[in-house]
Amino acid sequence: MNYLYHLYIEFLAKHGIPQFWGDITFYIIPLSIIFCALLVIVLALVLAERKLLGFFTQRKGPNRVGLWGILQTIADAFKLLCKENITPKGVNVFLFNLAPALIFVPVMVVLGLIPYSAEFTFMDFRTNILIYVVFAGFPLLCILLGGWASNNKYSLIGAIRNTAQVLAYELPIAFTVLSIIALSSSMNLREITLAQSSSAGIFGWFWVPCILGLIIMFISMLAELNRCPFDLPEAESELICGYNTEYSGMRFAMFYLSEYGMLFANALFIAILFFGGYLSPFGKYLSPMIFPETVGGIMIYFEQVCWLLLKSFLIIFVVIWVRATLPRMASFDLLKFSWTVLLPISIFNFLLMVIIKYTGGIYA
Amino acid sequence: MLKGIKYTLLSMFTVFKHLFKKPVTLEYPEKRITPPEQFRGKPVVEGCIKCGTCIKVCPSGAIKIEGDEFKIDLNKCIFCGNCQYYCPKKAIKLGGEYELATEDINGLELTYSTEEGVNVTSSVEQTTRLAQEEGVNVTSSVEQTTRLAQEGDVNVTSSVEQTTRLAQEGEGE
Repeated sequence: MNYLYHLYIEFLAKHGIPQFWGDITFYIIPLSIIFCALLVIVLALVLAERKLLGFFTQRKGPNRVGLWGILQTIADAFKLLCKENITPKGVNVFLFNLAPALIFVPVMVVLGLIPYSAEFTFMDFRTNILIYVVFAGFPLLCILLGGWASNNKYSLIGAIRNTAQVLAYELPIAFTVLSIIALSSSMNLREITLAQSSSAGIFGWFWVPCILGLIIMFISMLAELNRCPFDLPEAESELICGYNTEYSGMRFAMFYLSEYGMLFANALFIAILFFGGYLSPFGKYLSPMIFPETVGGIMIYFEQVCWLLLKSFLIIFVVIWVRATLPRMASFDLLKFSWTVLLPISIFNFLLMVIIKYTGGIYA
Repeated sequence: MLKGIKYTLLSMFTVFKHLFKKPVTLEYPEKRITPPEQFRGKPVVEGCIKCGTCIKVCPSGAIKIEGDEFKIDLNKCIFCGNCQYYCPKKAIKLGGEYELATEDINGLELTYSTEEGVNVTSSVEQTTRLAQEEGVNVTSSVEQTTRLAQEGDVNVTSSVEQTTRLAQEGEGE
């Protein structure tokens, strides 16, 4: 980030603009980068999900708008923008409008905490990982707010189910994150990434010692994101559309987009914790070999971003794969599974990681 | 618990194999499937001799013969295929066309012209004669079918069965 900051200040100095002006305006750049990237990635993710689900069920998926249906989600977004915003009778209008606006806040914050490359973390705090875990549970509040303000039994039941579900699955996530903190002795996501770089290459990443944690983290991520097979808050056959039953038009789109934004952020998070973040799987970066000396140094940062995105997209592929395979769980089974299976295993996993840390080796 | 994990992984693998299979769906308006031979779609009439058998066997009363015009009302037609089955001349055929949606309800009444100069009453006899010329003994079956249909309260399925049985007996004679 400092690199980008110095570039910006230098650029302003060339045009005779004082530095304090650059200090103020600099933070607009990362924000707009995140926002544009988020929009593009969310639209691409929705399309990828529909296409992949089509392939998994031996269909073709959307293939009308544009070449191979590439413009389908853009057309859908336009449709949602043009639709009328209906505010039903009896809703709490202020909270009803506030919930879809608020739900984008955690997505933006969480994406800012991710170290995309060695020099490209928008908010590089010492306790990044804690802030991430806290904000990852934040959409729950917006969903509860929207569900309550809708004055509709389906919305309320959906919101309450979501609350129970996220509360149950937050604890295994906390213990898994704790075990990663124990392994890397750091609470900073960038330092966690660096702690995984060793001579062992892929096997130096934390998915090897912490494979139990990876499985727990993946399952809990599905539950936190309300994805199949844990999509109880918006179970269509039981609850119409759950918490967003009363929402329409752009306000519905906000819920929808933030869901995919959180999916992307959580995939990045898992990629950083278990799969070495921006590290190259070959042990060394490829760009100095491909590009000449002068450009190669800068291109490393872009290569790191590519590795991170590649890893996160692989995780998203597995998420979609799970959605195509497994049916929805029953409400009671869902909570029982978390409290009786995942939580004990995650505590055991934490103990295991502490033992590994004490005994030493490449992971210590 | 272990069993559950095993079956979850197995099902995941099964779904993954579908990624490499060809899609079973078609892009409909551009590509269509050709319906099978026995498909019962839009009725096509050619070479009708106005014998009236189809009117009698039609369970929904969709067929009318007015003068030289053979009319099928697709609003009433249930595509059971009885008329095709009983037609002595094989003049009516439920063809392969299945896109019958229309904006005009009157357009669903199809009108076909019949063979000219054929008397209705003599048609059954003619059919019998024609069939005999072809060397097939269907006389009794056609007559009996017509009689059964005239009785009016014949169940469609049972009449089909009976006809088949009768036709088999007719061959035996």
